Amino acid sequence: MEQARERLQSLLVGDRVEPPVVFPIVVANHAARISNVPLISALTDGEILSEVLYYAYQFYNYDLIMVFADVFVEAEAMGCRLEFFNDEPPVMVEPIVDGARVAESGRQGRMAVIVDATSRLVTMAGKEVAVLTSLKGPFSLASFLSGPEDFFASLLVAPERAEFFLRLALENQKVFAREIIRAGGVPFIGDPMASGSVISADIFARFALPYLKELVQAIHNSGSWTGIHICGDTSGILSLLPESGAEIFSIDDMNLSAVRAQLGDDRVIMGNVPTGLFIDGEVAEVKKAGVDCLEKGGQRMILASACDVPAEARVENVRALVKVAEEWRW
Amino acid sequence: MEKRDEPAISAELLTRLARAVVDLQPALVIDLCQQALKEGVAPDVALNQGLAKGMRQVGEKFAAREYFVPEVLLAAKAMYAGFDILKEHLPQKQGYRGRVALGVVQGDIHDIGKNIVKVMVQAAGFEVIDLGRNVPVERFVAAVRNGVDVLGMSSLMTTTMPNMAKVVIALERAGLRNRVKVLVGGAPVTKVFAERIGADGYADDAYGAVKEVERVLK
Repeated sequence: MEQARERLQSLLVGDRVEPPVVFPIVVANHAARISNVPLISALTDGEILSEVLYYAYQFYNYDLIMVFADVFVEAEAMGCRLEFFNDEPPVMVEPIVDGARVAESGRQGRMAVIVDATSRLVTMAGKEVAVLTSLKGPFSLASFLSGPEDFFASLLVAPERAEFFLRLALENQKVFAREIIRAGGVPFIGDPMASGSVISADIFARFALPYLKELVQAIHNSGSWTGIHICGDTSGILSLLPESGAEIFSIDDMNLSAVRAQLGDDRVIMGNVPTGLFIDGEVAEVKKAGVDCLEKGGQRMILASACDVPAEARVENVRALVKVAEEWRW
Repeated sequence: MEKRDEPAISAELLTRLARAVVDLQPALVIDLCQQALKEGVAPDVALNQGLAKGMRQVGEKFAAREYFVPEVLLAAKAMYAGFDILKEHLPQKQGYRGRVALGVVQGDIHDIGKNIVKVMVQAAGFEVIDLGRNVPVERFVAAVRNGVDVLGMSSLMTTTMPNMAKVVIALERAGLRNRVKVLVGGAPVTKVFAERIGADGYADDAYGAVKEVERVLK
């Protein structure tokens, strides 16, 4: 069997891959939980983050590694104030309404933790598996910088204010993406606030897509491919997503047949076993959902969870998804 | 031009007021509220048949995915702008349909959802006591002790969801559980979870939350 890294490359260039690439989206929270490490250590120390992610990768034996701590890494580095807890993700206490600025380097604040973990994981496992490193889409980052309520209002009544934050966010993410690529990672964009459950297709087209496009372009110019994950129901904006230019689209819990029909047969889709199933589903349910994904999504699929695997997910359920791919033959 | 009678004029004004909320026009809402008062429209009528009616339509558009979060937030702003004009003219403690306390549980400061629910529940004619976010168990219990018909709790994080169960247990211990209907909501919350912790109801969006408040108080 080819190594995970080669199978992913084959998938990206359009070859049939057997067994299919599989990745329950295990990130810092679940990885720290199964490693018996307090989450806060993984969120604030690149070495520990790399260790828990590597442990989870070996423990489950899936085909990708994703470096993701929490959604506020860049916002904090740019000046937002967070509150941290021992074993749960931080929350934002204060956005930066004034005085927001682009990070001076791609290693400002905890961006350094992410870059450090990326480069360690590339050293540990880069020959066999691709290391994807999550960064926020400009829309989500801008909403954190300005405070979500303020940002959403400005989209409708003060677009120039929204654009000011979007521009800042974009410039910061270009710097961050370059640093991630330099560390050997593949920048993978997560844009949870650009969700079709939160904003309309018109707002997405005007305020999210152009900035995504420019970020993807910058990533391509630095010699990497990329992917985009958007949470929630994206059916209203799916047809616009390919314009971003990203190579992979990671889809949340929604009808995969409809997604495939909208995106076409050639696009690589990543998804989309409902994350709730990993907590309170049975192994058989996870397997059924996994098989369902491969049947509906076809050969151009990365079999994955719909969003990140919850901290308290049952180990046997995560294993079950990996098993579906291992046993699958086209 | 045919002279219209006053009820027709005020009906038209109320329709325009509702429409101004739906069209997300705070400045126009303020103008129309002032005009309504000047023309002798009763402030509670302007509230219920103008502002609240508009907000109900916004809720329907949200449920139908014509409106999204930014539109609802802006409509809420417009409604509050009008409410500020009307409130000093409202008769004291005029017929609320019930009293609802809302809060985001301890450890969680995600309150956009709670704020949207608040607007919708107010617009439906209920008095809302906003307990805010990161609310400790005791504050929920104190709110019930002070007398509310419905207690609504939300959480956006799986890690803080257990705090909802803690509140239900604390209400039982304080002998207050029978005095209040408990509703829960928030992204990770499910109907199954609501039943497991002994809540009286659950909704997965703000529009559903209003329907649940109405249902449990029937």
